[in-house]
Amino acid sequence: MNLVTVIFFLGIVGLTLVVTYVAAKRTSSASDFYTAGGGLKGWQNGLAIAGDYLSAAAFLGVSGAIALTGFDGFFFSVGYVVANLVLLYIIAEPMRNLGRYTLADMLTARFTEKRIRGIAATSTITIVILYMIAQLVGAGALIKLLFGIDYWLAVIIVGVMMTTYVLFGGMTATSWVQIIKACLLLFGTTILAFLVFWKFDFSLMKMFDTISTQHGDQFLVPGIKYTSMIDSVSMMMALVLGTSGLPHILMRFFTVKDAKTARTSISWTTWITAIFFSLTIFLGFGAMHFVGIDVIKAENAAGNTAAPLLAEYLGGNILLSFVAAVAFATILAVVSGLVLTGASAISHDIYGEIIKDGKLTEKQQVLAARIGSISIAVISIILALFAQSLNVSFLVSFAFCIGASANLPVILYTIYWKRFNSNGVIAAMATGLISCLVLGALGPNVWSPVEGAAIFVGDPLVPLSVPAIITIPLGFIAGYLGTVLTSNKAEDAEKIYNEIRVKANTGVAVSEVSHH
Amino acid sequence: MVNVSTVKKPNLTKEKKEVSVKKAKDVSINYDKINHMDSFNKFVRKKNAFLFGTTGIFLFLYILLPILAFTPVLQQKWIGNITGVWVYSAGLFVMTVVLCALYTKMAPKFDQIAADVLREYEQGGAE
Repeated sequence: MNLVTVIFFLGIVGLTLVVTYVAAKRTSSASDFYTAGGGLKGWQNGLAIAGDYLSAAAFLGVSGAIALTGFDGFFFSVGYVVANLVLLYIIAEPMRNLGRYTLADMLTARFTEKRIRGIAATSTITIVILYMIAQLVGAGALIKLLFGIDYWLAVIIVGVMMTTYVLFGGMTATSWVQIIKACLLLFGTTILAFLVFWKFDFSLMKMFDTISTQHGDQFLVPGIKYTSMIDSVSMMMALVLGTSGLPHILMRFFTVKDAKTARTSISWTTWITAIFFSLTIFLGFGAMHFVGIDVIKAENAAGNTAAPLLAEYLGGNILLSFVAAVAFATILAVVSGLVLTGASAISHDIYGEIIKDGKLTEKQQVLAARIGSISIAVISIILALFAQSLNVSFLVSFAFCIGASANLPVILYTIYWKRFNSNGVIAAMATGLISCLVLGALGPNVWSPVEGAAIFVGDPLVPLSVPAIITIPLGFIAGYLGTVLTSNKAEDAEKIYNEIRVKANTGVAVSEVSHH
Repeated sequence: MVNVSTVKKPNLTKEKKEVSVKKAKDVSINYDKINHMDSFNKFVRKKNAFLFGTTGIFLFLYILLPILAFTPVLQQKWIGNITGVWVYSAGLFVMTVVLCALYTKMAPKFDQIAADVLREYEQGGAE
């Protein structure tokens, strides 16, 4: 670690702590804590959602994957970008109009039973923990590489930072950390892409010619990593539909005052992600050509350090330090959002609403939220410390799979299907959740005949790395059958659905902004 | 979208008054009545047709990518050394921003219709 790196590193830590300090003064109620009082502006929330998308997996993972496998890596970029449209067209506005703090709040606006809240919270916590372990393990390994500190220490540092932001600054601090990181990341990526494009004389043709002649045509088509069409289709389904079921993304729609602002948010996110993921081509091809596949693989087999290595090649130590610091900020921002989302499910849904029947004072709610944040952080840190030697980056795809198979069917049915009932909710969520975990656990990410390639040695029973192509239809079918095969109909079911339909479509009676 | 406050026009300068209006409106909205209004149902049908129609189209075009990417169609070189998969992917990026712009253009129109529906409900009446 050298002086420039330390300066950038401390700069990020300092800036985010100042933001947290300012945010802490504005965080007094539960609404402040979970949703920043609903007072974020469209562009702010748009940048923050973009921040959630642009995780370390997206920045380092995608550019590395393109560097090592060419087009196979770019599949992810396309998936992340198009996913915005699903959110924009059918999820964002009704979500804003019906919900308060969590996914469970939105579902219980229609089905008031506690078991509905319970299963929604279970799904949220499962997704958050899976996602978080993958992020923390990745973060530990990355910080170890970039700054040369031990894995356990790196995980603890990230853990303490994320807990600090959330504990004191709640959603306001988390959002601003996301916004700062999104701007830095976009800036850093643009510089790298510009320098790469410059080296190719600003000619796309020349860049593709170089890759084709010097590295081979196999990088210009899929087939190095993904050889099966079904497997790729399945993964792409999980990406495009799963985003709309990820609780930490859905929660972001409650931070704005109305559906109109939710719409503006996603509009911003769409543009930012479209620009960012276009640039991943330059980062990937740049790293492949200028750094070299062998050098990248020698440093990290998965290619996660391709972008920092490219930065070092293009701009020396200063650019390397900047990009490393941005990667660090990226990790901090994403895990903070996850802590907050996990805390909302534990403290608001399970403790506040299920155990205490929603009878907590404002002060008790905030206290519960803080205790929940610490609990989820501690659990994740411990799990991440145990998972050190495992390759767990695939857990993120499990999270997308659950989002698409358990949460999305229930969200859509709740908003758009009159006959849907609470048994349908339980059936869809349980089926989606369990099928993703079971089929995923039997898949090639966990089982491989080659020793060391996966967690266990043996043939995978399910040949799909992401089982979404099976589990998404299962989730929808279970929700349908659970509804039509039971006659569980609350007395005022029709009245409630009428209200939901009017609210979702007109935004009438959306709770007002608390303050700011 | 539309908030009832824009319809009811509470006096924003007097906070106390606003609170009482807010309290009153939750009780006073007859959702069943709005839900059975012809204008509301026509609006929802029109809106959903647009939303789900467009969603169906872009999901179809999207999922064609991983299917066609493994066939010669997109594996051929289309422009110089640039293969079909890259051009098609670029097309999906363009589609995304265009449909995003389309939505932001259509949404205010839907807001307007929603506001009209609520106004009609208001005028149609007290129960």
